[in-house]
Amino acid sequence: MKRIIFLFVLLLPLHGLAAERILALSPHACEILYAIGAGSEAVGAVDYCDYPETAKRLPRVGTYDRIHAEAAMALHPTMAVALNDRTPGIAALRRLGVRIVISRPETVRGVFDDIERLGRLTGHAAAAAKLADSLRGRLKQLEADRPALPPKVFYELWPEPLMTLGGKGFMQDVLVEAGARNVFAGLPMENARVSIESVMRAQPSIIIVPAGTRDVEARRQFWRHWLGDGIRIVTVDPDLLQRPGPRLVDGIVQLRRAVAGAAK
Amino acid sequence: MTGMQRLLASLLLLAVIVYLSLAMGDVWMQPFAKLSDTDATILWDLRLPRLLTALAVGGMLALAGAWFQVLLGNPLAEPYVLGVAGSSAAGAVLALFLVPDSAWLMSAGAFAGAWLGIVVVMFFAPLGRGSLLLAGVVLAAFWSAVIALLMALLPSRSLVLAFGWMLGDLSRSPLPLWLLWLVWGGALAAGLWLSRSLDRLLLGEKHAAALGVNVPQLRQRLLWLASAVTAVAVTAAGTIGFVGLVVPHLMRLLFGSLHRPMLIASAIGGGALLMFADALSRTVAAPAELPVGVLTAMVGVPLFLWLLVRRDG
Repeated sequence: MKRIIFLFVLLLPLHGLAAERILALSPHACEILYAIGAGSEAVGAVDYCDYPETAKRLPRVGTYDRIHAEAAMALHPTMAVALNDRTPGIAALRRLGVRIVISRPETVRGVFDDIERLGRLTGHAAAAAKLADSLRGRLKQLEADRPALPPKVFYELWPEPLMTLGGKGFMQDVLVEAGARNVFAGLPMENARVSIESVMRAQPSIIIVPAGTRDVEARRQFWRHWLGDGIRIVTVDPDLLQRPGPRLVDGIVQLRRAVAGAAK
Repeated sequence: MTGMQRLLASLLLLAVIVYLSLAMGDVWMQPFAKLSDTDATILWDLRLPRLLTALAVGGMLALAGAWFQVLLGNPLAEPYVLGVAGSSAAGAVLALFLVPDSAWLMSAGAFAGAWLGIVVVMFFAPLGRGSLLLAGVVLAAFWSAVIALLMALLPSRSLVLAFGWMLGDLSRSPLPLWLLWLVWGGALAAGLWLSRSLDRLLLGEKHAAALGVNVPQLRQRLLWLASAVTAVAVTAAGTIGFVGLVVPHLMRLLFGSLHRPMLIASAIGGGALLMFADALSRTVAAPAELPVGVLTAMVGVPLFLWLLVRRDG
């Protein structure tokens, strides 16, 4: 009998091996895992992993651009979904046998592909495929009635120093899908510091301000001062729009509606 | 060339640089042509204030650099050598750490940090030149460590603000233009008032004392003056390197080591260099903007090396 109990105790840890123990090392990875039903396998997260509500209770192991390997290993992870292979801490996790999965979608459609890929890797393929298909469908619908001449917009990525989106990268694709024409789409970079002068010269009709910590009223005053009273200010929720996760299409719909309303 | 001719040539060059800096940018503009409303706004409300800020800040940095060089008797001295820029940056980053998104509070933190740095340095003022310099360098290292610590703890979104400030930004000085010009002018006047004593200090502290200079008092005054001017410059535009190191040397090469002409030339030349570098920074990659500190070095280094070789070669 004693021997049997001993064997049982010895095998106890194996019980946990059935499911993955996943670290969600970016806010969007966290959202995707919960959306495809892999939330219960998530054991750790990074700062700003705040959606859904239950994700806030996950222990933190760093930020999206710096992982604390010891804190991460203390959670006995088997898999980690990270933004970038070169993020400090990732190499250590890999060396210690954690499977590293990189998710950094470059386009809106890439987000759906990543949702399916993460579904396959975590054993939630069916739910992931269903979610991705529904998102694809919604996007297709949006594309069907895209405006013929999208209004010119300036995306105020950051107010001081004034920063915006260039033509490279994920957010440019998001703006196109949202029916907005980025006045700085010609810049060959992901984001760029620009002068007020260049914005005046580019003559956007709408300024997109990611709300959140920013004083929108102050920004409205600021842009009215330089671009005249005719300028429209549109706010978006950066958590929806700037995260390549399952809520992205909601963000695109929101922005599309706001831009179309302002362009009238 | 005589001194007068040199002065006239320099003033002409300054006028050309002012004109170029106004005209350069996203689009080339003729400042005196008839302009559309948008162009007029760009020229007079955006480019001109920025240019005037650059003139004052560059002038202040060059003056402070000249003073630190004579005060410490070291050609490698520059406005940030005693850690004032480091403490200022630490103050700015600390403010961001407490309230992540306030650019205004960051500037207040920078100013407070600069003064904290000055007060700390003042404890070491009675030391000899070499020891003061060493104390400053070590303090600068300490502030760097504080900055590194806070940066590691700072949320990523605040890093944009912090980096933007540390690389120098003339587009959003929190201090009013008239104040910058007042400090710039006041600093130059104070420098000229001290210029004879400074000339004597060039001979070494012992000789200066023999010639009737109250060396401890002069050092105290210089240290306060140079630090205060640096604090204002750093608060206005962040940490812009190179101007304060090279412009005084450049002006010594052109106008000699006597402080009266050299300080006037530095106050104006530093401004001109920074102004031109800033104009380039918003032109070369337009409509994207480059950090101004990159351009000051890229414009200033070849110019300086050329003059150095020409003098010694």
